[in-house]
Amino acid sequence: MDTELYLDYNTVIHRLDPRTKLILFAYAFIGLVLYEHPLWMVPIALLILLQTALARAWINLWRLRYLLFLLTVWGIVLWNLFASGDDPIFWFVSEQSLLFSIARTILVLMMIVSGVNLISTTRNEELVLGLIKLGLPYRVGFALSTSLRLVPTTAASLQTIAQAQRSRGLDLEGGNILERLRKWLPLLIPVFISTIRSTNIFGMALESKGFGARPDRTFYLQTEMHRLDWILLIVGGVITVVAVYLNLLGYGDIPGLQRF
Amino acid sequence: MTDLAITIQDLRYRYRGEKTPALKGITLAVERGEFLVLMGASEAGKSTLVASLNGLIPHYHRGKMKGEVVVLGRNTQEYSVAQMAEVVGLVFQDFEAQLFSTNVELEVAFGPENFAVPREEIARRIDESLSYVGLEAFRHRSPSTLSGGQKQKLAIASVLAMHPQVLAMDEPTTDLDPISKLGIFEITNELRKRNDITLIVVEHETEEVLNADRIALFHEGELIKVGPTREMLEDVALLESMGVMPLGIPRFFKTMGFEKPPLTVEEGVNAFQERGWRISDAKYEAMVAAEKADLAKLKKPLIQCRDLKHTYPNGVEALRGIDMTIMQGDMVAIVGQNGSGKTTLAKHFNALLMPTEGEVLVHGEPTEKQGVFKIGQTVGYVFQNPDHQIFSETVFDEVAFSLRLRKLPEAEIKERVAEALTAVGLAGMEEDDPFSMTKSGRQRVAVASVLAARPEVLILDEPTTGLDYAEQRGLMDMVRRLNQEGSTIIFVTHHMWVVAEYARKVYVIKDGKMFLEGTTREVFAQEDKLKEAFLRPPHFVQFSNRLGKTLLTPEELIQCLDDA
Amino acid sequence: MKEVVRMWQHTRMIILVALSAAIYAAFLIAFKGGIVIVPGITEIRPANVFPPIFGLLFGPAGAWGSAIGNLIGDIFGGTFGPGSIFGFFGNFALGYVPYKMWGSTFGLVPKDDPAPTTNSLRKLIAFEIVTLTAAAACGVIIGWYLDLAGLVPFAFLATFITINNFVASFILGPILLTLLYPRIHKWGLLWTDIMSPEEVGKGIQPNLGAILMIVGAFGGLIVGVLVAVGAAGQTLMGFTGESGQSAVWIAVLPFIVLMVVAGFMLSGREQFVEEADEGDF
Repeated sequence: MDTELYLDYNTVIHRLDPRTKLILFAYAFIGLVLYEHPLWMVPIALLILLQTALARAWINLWRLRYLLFLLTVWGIVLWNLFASGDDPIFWFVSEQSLLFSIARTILVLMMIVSGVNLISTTRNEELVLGLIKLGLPYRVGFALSTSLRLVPTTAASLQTIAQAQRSRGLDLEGGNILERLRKWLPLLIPVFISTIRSTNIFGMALESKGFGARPDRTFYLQTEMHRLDWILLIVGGVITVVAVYLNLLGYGDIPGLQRF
Repeated sequence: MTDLAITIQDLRYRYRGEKTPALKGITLAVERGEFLVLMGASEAGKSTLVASLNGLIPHYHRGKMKGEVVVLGRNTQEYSVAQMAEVVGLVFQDFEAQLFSTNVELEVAFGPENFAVPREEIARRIDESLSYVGLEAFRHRSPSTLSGGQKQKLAIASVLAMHPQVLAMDEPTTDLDPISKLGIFEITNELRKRNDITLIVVEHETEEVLNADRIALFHEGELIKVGPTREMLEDVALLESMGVMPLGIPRFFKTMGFEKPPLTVEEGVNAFQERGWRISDAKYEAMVAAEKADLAKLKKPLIQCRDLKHTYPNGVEALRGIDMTIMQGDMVAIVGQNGSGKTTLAKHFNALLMPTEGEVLVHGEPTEKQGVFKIGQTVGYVFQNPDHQIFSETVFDEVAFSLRLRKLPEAEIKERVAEALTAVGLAGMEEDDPFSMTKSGRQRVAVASVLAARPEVLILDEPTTGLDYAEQRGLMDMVRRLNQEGSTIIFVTHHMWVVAEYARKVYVIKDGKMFLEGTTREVFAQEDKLKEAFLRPPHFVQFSNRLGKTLLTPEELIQCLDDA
Repeated sequence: MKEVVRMWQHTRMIILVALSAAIYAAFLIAFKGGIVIVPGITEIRPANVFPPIFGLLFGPAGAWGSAIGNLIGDIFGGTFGPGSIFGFFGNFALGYVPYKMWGSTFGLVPKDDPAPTTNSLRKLIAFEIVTLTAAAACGVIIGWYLDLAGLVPFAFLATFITINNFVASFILGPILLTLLYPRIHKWGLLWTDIMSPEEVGKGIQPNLGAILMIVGAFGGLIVGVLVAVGAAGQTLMGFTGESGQSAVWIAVLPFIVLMVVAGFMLSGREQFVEEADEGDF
């Protein structure tokens, strides 16, 4: 099963410290949620897409194209139900609510793009190390990285189990919702049992390698903040502060918009 | 006085919730630099003993321990597991469960990191350990992309990086194909030569332990006997009675009245020739002819592959044009290295996979037209890991699962379940809990649940993996009985002795192509070609090949001996 | 709440976090692209039965595992975004509430047999109460936040998540628990096997805590929906303001605070029973 979104390139974005990428991700989040009006979101959206371009991560957006398409259609329609304005276009859609819907859709899409940028350019272990250096306790980081490692294995056994039960005549399709849910039991139980069965061995192997032997611990993997990291953090910080300031001044709203 | 690495004094241990102790008073001393192999049937206490070497017992498991274990002066009662870990390294059978990192280098770094070894030193140890096991080229890969053998090598490297003075490995090769097994044993042999490492290895495969200094034989928590490797392996009767597979060569010579039988192929050939024994051509020809005549009785093709190709969605070409015909009533083995395509091939037989090119016919009709649900009633597939299918509360429910899905009347279900359970030797255990059975019990439940659908063909993927010798024999004898009653049997396996004793025909797959096929005898006669496919026949067959004829069991050889 | 932190001292609890997370994430990823209701935010997923089960069996490790599993599902599924932050908290609650409330279900679970299973009608009822509460708590937390972030409206999402979580637990939960509990017990992997009672928060008036948790979860859901769907809610809460959305945030917030308070009041210590000595050998 192809679950890796990480792209093994050596772009300028890849070379950034994981902490920088995590903080940029947070900046993007703040910058995006501020405005009601889609035009005001464009600069930040362009910066995010610039990051995608520099990271050469288009391929991953392409992989997610169906999801992104669904989100677009769904978002543009749905949000009209939860907002209205003075200039109706047709039925429940008004000029203001349409603008608002477009903005909300951009928000959702850009957040996902920003997430894809992060995941495409940061290896699991860098991500976890970045989080640890930002204050995440080591043991939590360890659990996170171990689960990241185990997901492909578990997904593979889920696939095998599905095959095994199918060959015994299990058909997941058909039936009412109750029957359909119950048909998942022959998959849920073996995945659970066969995975948890290894817990004790896992724990033994972990302790045998001296896990938690001493409070201090070396990290072989190193991350280093370079000049570019600092520049990006400062520039990004300034943009975010300016965006917040402009929003507080009342820019970026849609006049006449009613939200429910 | 010799320098002792490990002393175990009257060690007793009982796991929480168990009635009988796992260890019943073990006393054993191991010298520094020694290579000791622990053997015995399932549940003999070998793994418990290994876990007590670094203090997992008593610290990790909840249970009761008596007696003492001292490793390099550290008493396990007084030292924590982490402290013991500085001198004792442990490698487990389950390679999935002992790798934690998302990258090979970091996996090796993990142990030293925990002991706060400086970064430069860790870098040095990564180089050292990876080159020791031959994984330098994979240092940036994710462990999940490695093969089973490579994962186990990585597990060993990650333990070696901690510079242990005692290295204990619990069945490190059980889940591996023959060539990966060999890889692990080459590493063991290198380690054996070093006198700064004491090696303790739990092993089922007798052929692989010839290099050990001593063998300790366990049975039901007791140490039956410990002695020099040679002496132990010569005692064929003792091994067999303890559920350990004896070597074929000494088994033959013991039957022929040898007190001190030869062990290796070389020794065997010498001894055979010294006695002036000869294999009778006439008797051999007669045996081969009888076998051919038997196979010729099978006239009806059941499964046919025509230029079968399969490419996975990720672009991997698993099968590249396979032509084969399996006759109704046959019992065939499909063998090949890990990743050769043998499981992919077998999954085509019951439409779990569809050809991307070419076709597979079952009873003359393409699988694509029939679909997995229809074919499932003709061709049953037992997956490698029984835990991948068992989900019911009782054995009865599990076996009845596919029958209920097919909406058979309850009376017929009862009858069929009883029939299937009798066939696998589990009659009367309908109300048992399948999850609490041993691996071999669960394997039997899995087979029964497929048998209940009364398929004409039974496909078994690695049916003997993880079972001990007696359990392997029991299972395969049962499968052979099914074959004699008319079922067609197809099994995929790594165990060459199982092929030698149970298969009538063998298909060797290499790189997605049919590399060799024929009767078991014909295939095992071609040792060099097998080697190209990373396979090799059991020692006994190699021995008989050296004598000029291919004989699969000691019994066959005895039958073909020239009386003169 | 103490055990949520203290559990990280136990190797086995850490492994259980990782394994639960991996199981949950593997199913979530398998369902992405399945029945998508609000694309990118949530889907109908039978796997939602897992967090309460993880919680009841593995305690705090189950709560952490569910939270991390959901996060990884987002990361691998390509839906990593702002929703992931409170998806984390919501799924944490989905695993946390059941084990904390289990022993405080107004006497439904007998004191001398607190094993988390559904072997009696009383325990079955207790199971449905705790999972329904957990389902609503999860729905309110995620719905509140995503509404706050302006991503998906509360009324729609909170209701949907609650129903989805509960349907999965209601139908699959009891069967799963009946089958899984004996195995986990035998392997010594119940959280009460691994941790000791001293490591678990004592709680204050846990039965009252349970009531507050129920009030918080359902109150938040009902009030939130009423406010969001129209004037009824606004008059109810005395709001006359022009923005219905900020009314939702403010109306639901006290209920979330209430749930957090209840989370501290509940304990979980009730589930530790003295182990019988198995005798000498």
